[in-house]
Amino acid sequence: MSDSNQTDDKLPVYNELAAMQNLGSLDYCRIFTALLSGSTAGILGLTGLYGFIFFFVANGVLGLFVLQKYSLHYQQYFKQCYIIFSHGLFGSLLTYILFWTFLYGLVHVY
Amino acid sequence: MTWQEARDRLKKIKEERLRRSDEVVELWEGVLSKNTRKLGDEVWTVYEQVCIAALDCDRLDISRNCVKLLDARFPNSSRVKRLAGMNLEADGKFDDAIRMYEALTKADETDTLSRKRLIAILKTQKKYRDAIEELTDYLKTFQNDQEAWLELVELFCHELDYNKASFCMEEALIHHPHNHLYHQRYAEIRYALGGFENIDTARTHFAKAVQLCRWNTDALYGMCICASHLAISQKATAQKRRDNQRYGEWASNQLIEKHSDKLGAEGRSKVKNISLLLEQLQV
Amino acid sequence: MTELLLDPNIRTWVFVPIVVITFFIGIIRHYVSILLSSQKKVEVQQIKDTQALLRSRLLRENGKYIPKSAFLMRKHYFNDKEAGVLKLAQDRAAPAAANPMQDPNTLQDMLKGNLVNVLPMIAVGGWINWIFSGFVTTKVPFPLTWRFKDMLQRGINLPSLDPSWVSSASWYFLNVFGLRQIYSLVLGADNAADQTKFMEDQVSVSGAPTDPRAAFKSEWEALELFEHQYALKGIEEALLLADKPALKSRKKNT
Repeated sequence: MSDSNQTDDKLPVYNELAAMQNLGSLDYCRIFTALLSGSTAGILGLTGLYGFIFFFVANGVLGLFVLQKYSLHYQQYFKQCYIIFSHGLFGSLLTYILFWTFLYGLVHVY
Repeated sequence: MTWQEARDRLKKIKEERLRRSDEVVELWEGVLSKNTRKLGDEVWTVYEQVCIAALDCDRLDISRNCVKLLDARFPNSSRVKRLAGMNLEADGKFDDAIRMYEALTKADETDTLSRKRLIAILKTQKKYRDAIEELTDYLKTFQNDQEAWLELVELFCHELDYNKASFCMEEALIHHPHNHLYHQRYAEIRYALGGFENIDTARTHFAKAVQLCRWNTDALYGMCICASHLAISQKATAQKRRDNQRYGEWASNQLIEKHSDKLGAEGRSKVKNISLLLEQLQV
Repeated sequence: MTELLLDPNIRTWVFVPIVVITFFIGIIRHYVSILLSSQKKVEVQQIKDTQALLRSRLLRENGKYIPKSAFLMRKHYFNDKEAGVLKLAQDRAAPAAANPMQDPNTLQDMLKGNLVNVLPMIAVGGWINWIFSGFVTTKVPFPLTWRFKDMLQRGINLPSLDPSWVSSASWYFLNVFGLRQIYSLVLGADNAADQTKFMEDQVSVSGAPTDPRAAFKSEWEALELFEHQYALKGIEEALLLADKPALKSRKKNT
């Protein structure tokens, strides 16, 4: 993750390249989370609402890990706090559903 | 150092655009030249990087070798031809190099790098007017190339054409309005132009530079000089003269404060004398 | 948990192969599009136009940091009635806004894009539907409404079957959408296997020919309406004001 802003006296100035790179890394982590949590949900046999709750819980945990890594300095890497939790969330939902269905099918249907 | 570490170091230098040509040449000669096969396809970008670094260190033997290998692998590549042109430049064969670059630009009108090398040759040959003409022509198409605008500022300053230099500096400012060095440079050019309005603008931009970077000494001195000039100028109103007096005092106090951190009492009085002299400076 | 028991052969010969097929087709599509991609030759005039638009936009965004006279000079350069760059570009761009079908280059690009992206998806989807039809492939872990039954259970005529049980064609399409993000892991960010990006491009390309003219016009208007407020006005006062507490303490010390 690269340093994203140089603080002025009042205005924060953003290094756009660094900000985009950080979001890309976050996307990368998010895809892996979707993969692993989807597989876990499938193996555990979660269905319906529980599965979707699990998805949001897994992403919440990912967000917490990211926050913990930077503790109070997250402003240096991300523009706002909620971005850590929301960026790319629904994009990874489909991946989650795929792996969830896949492992569920492999383990429970057959 | 293993070849992997050397390769990673080269990659880092390339990505961060550092100018460490001697380190690159050292890594090449010491480690990588013996491991070219292990680099696989990456070796070609390494050759390019080493070639340019070798030219920077006046190691024409290495650079010529790199170009030969690259040309064998990528015949008819404009990128390789450009490297060959740079080699010709290093050899002093400017006319051949110019011919090569002109051929490249004719083949591909959007080739910015060859055009820039052409301008660089003109600059080396001290044909500043021609360089300015080429660069202006280039900027008519590629209006957002900040590097080019800054280069044009240099060329105009060299020709003492400060009017046009200030225009180019404004372009650079539009791209990076929060860079205190750009504000400072712009203010210096405006000050060089002289005249009441220009010095007023200069003082404003020096102030902006100070706002962006608290201890930019050049900007503080600049602000001091501009303000003191305006404080005694006939063209200014009484109010303006008073204001400028205050600004000048403030700037010189900042300077005293900055320097007195390091000096003792004797040093402090010396700085105070200098600032008094500064205030009496007349342009 | 499961009401139906499916033959394990379905898993081995249908369920997993569809995933594998979808994945490899995506990878192949990526490499084929690299092979087929033509070197786009950019016109100098086009570069001039895009650069002019960008510069004008930057001027609007950051113009307040340069003196008013400088700003007005540039505004005149862009917006002058006869010789302004944006005005000339508008007049020039008009004829090019003709039917996109007539422009051979865009047509060729569109055909190539279609060939590489949409055609394989339809072809493979149809093939899978033909080969693996007539039986249920898997159960999706979440409940679906009865309306989806018709769409997801093509070829299975059991009115009482839960819509969560889907056919192979729908499993294939689920794969296509789900694996998109995986491609960005495997192939790097900018890859041709990501179809939805391609479909977005299609929409914007068909809109593009009329866009240049509108883009110049909107830029011209924006620049006309922009009011230059010198951001550096009164900056010295602001500096002195900000320094007031320090000034007081300095006065105390001296």
